[in-house]
Amino acid sequence: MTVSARRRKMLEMGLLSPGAAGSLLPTTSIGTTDRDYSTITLWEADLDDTDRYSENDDAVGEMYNDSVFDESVTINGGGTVGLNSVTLTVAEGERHDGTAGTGAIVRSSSNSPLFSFGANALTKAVRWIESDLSSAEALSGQRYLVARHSGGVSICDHCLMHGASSFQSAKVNYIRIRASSGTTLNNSIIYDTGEAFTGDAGEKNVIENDGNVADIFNVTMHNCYNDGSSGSINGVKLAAGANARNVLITDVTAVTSSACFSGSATEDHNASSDATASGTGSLTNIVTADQYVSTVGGSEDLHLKPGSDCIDAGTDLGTTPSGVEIDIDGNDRDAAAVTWDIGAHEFEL
Amino acid sequence: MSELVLKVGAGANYEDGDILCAFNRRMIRCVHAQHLCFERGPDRRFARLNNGLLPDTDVARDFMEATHEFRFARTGSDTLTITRISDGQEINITSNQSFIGFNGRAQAMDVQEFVARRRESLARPNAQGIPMFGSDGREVWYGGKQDYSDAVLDTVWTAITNKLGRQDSEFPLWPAGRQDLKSHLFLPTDDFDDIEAQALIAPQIDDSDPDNPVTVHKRARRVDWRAIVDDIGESRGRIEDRTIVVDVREKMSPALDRGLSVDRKR
Repeated sequence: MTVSARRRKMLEMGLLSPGAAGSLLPTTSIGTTDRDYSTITLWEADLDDTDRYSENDDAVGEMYNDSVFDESVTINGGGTVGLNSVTLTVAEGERHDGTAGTGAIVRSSSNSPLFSFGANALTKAVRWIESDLSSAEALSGQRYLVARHSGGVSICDHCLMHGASSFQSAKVNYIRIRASSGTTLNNSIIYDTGEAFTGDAGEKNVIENDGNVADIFNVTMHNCYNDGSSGSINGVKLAAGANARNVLITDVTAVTSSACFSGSATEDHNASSDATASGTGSLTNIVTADQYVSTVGGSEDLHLKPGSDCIDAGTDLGTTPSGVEIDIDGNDRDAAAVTWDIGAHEFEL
Repeated sequence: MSELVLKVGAGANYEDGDILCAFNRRMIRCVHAQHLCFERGPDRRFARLNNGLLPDTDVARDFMEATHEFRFARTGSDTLTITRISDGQEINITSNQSFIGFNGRAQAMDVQEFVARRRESLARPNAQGIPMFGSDGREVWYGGKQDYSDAVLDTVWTAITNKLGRQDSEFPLWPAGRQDLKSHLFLPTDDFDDIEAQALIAPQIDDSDPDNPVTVHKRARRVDWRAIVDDIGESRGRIEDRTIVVDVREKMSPALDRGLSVDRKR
């Protein structure tokens, strides 16, 4: 049976979803209650399966909130088949609502990055995933996301990332961007992350890139710390060529030095609880207690609350990059024609 | 019993026999406990109350109480008690008033707004929100770090047995997916701890530059299943056929000897 005939058979059997005219878009389910795959790893390992995928397919893995995922995954499959893109997302109705424990969640107790984008030319994306690293007694090298590849774009959007501590030595960055073809991080919330090991020294950066294009748009970041005896921390440390817009960062603290924003990115319409937000329309020294519904440990809700300085203080990014107009709650800023807020949440919607 | 999941056939980033996943008994107990405590079907033993909350007697509350760091209990329209479950220490807070939390950092909550948003999430179709208990105006929920150790799971399974009449011995297998058992090879093995589980699936890393570790192989350990196919009890052809289910977890005897069969790549 030829590959095309096999795929038509699989479509008839309901194992593949029909896509745009003439194409088959294989979307597979991931979870532990009668799904296609029970772990992200097992789904990813099949990305080069020519029975399931063809050249130029857009492979999509949809996670379900059947149980907590406990794994670290390097997403670098699909290059042999010639996929156009690989997306790991969460099925609608299974997504978080911007707060912890409300949707499909990945935690990792391993020493490897939670998500690592490997070296091939595909566009890779992780979307709508809550990730909790608070239970990882990690050694050096633990990171949430590493995007290190050439030729393909990396995308992380609508994710909820929290809880990464006790790194214990080494320079560790929560999100490390080294993708030469560009990385987009938007409409995501990051909180309660850092270095709790008091014996550590060194710089930690929550988001760092190495000079390649990185667009950080409508991200909310709160309570990132380095308790190391001579530690320092930056919320975002971006090199020239990166862009930070509508980014809200509060409470970045360290023993020696800390900054919500650092580096030489192009910045505008950001907000910080210190003096480091820069560029047109940016707000500095905002009062953290005035911004969010809850900063209570274990019950964080970083949606904006009435009276937040960030309401209507952002800049309209239209629909570029694709999906940037959708806030953390899935509401469409562009369709509603609202004045954009700073951060992941659009208060008016 | 525990399980190793092997790659069948080489791929661009895996070698034939690579250990893709390692599920120990603790992980298997944990996933089934979650299924039972948060069962979503219409026959769920403890149905949601008309107000969307779960009853306090729900086995889901036993699960949350055992596995989570904090309990949050609303004591008034604008007041809340936070309890650190491990030692019973409490902090009483008032809406929008800053206080120093258990982590030593200043924090605050708009209690009415927080609860209203959570109750709205609970009302979504097919949505679970945060499992919430208690009653209108006296809601209870959980948060913080989670603990899924064997000791905690013992407590959870005791509650499951008492309230649902189920035993963890009824669930010996990892709940593999429809395609899992066609694409990959699940082998039974004796139990192992979490440290060994991580080692079994660890990548092979070149960390000569510690700031820029490079993955040499996605997996450092593999099982040459082809050399032991007679012990597995299935033909190579059937194992390699990705259109049929091959499941030897309850047939292969004796189970895989990891000491003999797991190879570490050089």
